[in-house]
Amino acid sequence: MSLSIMTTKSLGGAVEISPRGEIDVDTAHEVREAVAAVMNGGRPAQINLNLRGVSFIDSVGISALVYGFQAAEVGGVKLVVTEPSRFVHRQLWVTGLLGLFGAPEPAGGPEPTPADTSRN
Amino acid sequence: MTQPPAAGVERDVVLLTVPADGAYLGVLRTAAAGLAARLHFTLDEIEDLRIAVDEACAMLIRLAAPMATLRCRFELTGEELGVEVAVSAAPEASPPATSTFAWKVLTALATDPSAAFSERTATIALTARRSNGEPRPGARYAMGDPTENGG
Repeated sequence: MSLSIMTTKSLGGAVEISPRGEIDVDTAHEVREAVAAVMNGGRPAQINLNLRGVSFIDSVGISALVYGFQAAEVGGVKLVVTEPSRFVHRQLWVTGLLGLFGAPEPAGGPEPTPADTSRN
Repeated sequence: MTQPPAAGVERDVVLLTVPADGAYLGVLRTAAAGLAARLHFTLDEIEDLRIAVDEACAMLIRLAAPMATLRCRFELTGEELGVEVAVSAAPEASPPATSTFAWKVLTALATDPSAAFSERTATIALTARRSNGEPRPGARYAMGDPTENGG
């Protein structure tokens, strides 16, 4: 039920932010803070938000992504989503935001947890 | 509210009460997913339900009085899963807003969600149906066709 976020810099000057877990009303602020921290630490060439490890995202989480996009854009930095999990890709598609985040193709992504698919 | 089941249709009711705190949303999502799996919903239908329950509960948590509990009632009826969530609202709380992004997501993913507010209790009810392979009319495009937005 928790979220962990890893931030790494690449040789090309881009920064990759990789949350892992579930982004909801309880954890969305961590994504906003991660983007803000990157922007405060200097202007990267690009921010890649790698959502391969995100198994759940709701409207509050999507709002956090949009906040991150806008915060980066204000600083002249492009923020794109990379390798969205199947779940995230579907949510971005449903909300019409795939294009905003660079129209990423879905990654293999995390499989649903046993609790999500257990039968009896 | 869910309709009474037809004669001969089994009906199970599951009640779950948790603190009205975002930290418990994951518990409710998992419970909803497990119940939907009992009804043999598809993976996509289970995902939709997880999001819908999350959105409904998150909306109510914002209205909750201090120390309030979130009362969830799941009713399994044949091919349907009815969900009703209620919370005691804070004195200054307004009824659940149906003009928000969260509500738009909810209406895109669940059948006929409704919100009520009476005697300082805020309630959101929704129904999820097993499609049996048939497309659910309107469910995917309630927010407009995402492909028209470059998606």
